[in-house]
Amino acid sequence: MITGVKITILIAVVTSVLSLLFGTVIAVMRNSRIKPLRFIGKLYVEIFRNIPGLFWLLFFYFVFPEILPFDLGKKLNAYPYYPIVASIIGLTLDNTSYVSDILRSGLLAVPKGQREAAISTGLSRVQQYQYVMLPQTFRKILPPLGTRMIHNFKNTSLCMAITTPELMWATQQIESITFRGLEATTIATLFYILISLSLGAIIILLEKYYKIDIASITKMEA
Amino acid sequence: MIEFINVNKWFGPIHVLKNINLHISQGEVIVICGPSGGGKSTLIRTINRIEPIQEGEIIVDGFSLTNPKTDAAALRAEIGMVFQHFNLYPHKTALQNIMLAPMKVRGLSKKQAKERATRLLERVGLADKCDNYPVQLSGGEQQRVAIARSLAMQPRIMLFDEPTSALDPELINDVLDVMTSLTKEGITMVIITHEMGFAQRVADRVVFIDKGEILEIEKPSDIFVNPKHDRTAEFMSKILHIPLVPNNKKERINKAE
Amino acid sequence: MEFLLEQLANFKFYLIGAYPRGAAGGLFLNISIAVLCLTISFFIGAIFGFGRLSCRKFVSYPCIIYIETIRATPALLLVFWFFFFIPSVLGKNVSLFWSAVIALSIYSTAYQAEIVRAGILAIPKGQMEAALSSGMSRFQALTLVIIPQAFRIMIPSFVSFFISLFKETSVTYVIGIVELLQIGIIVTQRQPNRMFAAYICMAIGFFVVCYSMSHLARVLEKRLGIHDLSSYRPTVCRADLLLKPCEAKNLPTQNPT
Repeated sequence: MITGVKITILIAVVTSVLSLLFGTVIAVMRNSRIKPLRFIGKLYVEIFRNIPGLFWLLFFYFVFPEILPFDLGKKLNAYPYYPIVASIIGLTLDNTSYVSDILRSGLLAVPKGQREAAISTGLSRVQQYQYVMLPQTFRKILPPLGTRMIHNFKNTSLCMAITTPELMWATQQIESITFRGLEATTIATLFYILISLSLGAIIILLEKYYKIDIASITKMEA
Repeated sequence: MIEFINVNKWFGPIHVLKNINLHISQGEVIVICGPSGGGKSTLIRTINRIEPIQEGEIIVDGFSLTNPKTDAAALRAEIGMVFQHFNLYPHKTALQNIMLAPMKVRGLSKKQAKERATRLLERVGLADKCDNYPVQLSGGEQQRVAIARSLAMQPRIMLFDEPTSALDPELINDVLDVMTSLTKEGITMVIITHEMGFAQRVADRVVFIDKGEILEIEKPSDIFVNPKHDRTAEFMSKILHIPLVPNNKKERINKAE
Repeated sequence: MEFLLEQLANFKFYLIGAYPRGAAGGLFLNISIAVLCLTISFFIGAIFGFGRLSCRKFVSYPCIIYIETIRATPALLLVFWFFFFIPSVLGKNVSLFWSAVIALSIYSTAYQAEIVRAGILAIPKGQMEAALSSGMSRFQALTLVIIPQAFRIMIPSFVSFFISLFKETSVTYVIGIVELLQIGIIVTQRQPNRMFAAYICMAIGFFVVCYSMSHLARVLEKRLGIHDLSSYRPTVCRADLLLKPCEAKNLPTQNPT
């Protein structure tokens, strides 16, 4: 069970980081001047938001190796850690769509003048995002982003469906050996609650840390 | 330094700049005034290409803005701009606000940038506020930080878009003082303002714009006392609270007498 | 493409399972679980939402604990837990369907409670003051003025919560409920070489429902001019909205989010 917790946390951390990265890229794409880029971003978000994460996990575990060129798929299936890899891919893609949506609404809420100020001092397009737009966005969207990350952590429990040896899967194993389903599930639930609540606490601390910034961003917009 | 040649601009169907021709030479201080919605802001924003133009040509410092080969970012680095609503970055302190562009665009080291920023803050009289966030500063202080932020790039042109109109009356003078001291440094300045006393003191020429057209370009002493155009006269008398009669009418009145 | 056409023969199976001859299933089951849960949990959720706003600690604290605990638990775990828990309490088996409905209803009460709370907190303070000053009691003000407005604000959030609840219903396949995902798996087991097509059918099923709902949410947002509150978690506690008057100084200070 402890190994299960470790793998759960591993998957949660990796997917959160990756989806933050990709989410930023997609959000910036959707904010771009170039129409095809905007379209791709929107298509991505619509597809992944409207189909459950569990589906994507099953898809990447069962179907993805099949549609790859023949040898590659076989190699993947033989790879002992493929369930973990598939979980990470599936959850990241799912979570990315949500993260990018949150980020986009944050970006849209940055006042136009901020960008103009950045432009007028000669910052390049990348620098505008890097130093002016994105830092403000991140501070502002911290609460919904935090909620999303907790959700993502909870979603790791879905990975049991594809035999990833994470917490929930371990619980199932114990249940099938001991037939004490209620006790095993209760303990697993406690683990999840504990970790989610501590994640929540971390986010509150982060908000406190950035409090002055957040306050100033909100006040300047008012 | 800045040359407008037959510039036209539309926002959709609205013709916002009509046949603008204007030459601003190096070191000149130009004040633009006119009723709101008349195209002042748009005009000043075309100079650093925040607003693109559809027709005509703008040449800044020898580079044509309409030429796609012109590196807009590099040119903008030479043009400082101060906004009506300051637009300080709320997540950075006053000092960091000033340091950002010199470090990232000019490639200054952190130490050099900090030195320069501190000096500029001293110059605008805010040395003690360097670690404050914008939200902790008054409007006038924010605007002075914004001016310092533009100056940190050592621009050759400064654009001011109504820098004092969002400020409480008692804070305006601090900002105007800083701007007055800048006029003595040979920086080319284009200022939109309704502070006519200030304009009279510092401006080399005053441009009056209404409905997208330049109606008059005159020395401040002339335009305030002897406006040529009806609309200029009307506007000036409203702003200055004194009745003014345009030149051509005076002649007519004289003839009639 | 021909894969898809072949799968079309299974289409009825995807939509309603083996219904006329056997148990109902497929997309129909997903939708009915989601609708049932949403209805049940709306009322319970509203109670918890109001409870959390109460100033009586013995009312608000249990509500907070309940909401936060449920929000911290994955839906999958709740489904499992009730699957084991209900038989051990009742001493007999409940149908899988009702076990899943109960679990997901419990899951969604917490979220609905937060939507209700956010909706109520979004009503400007002046509304309560106006109602009170016209002589209404606190209860009257709440039921006649605040709640009707708040309910309107909550509608888009309910729709978008319905979408996520609908997606969460797919987890019930782990306890053996024959919903869309389970059917897809059954089909792939019967025809392993048609796996890709089966998954596409599942994807289309989920996508059509979710996309049309999210479209509805967007239309509602636009028409009502309000935004989705489901990801917004209010941290503010406002004295004027508490169900019973109590002293403002005992309240937590406002948090600017």
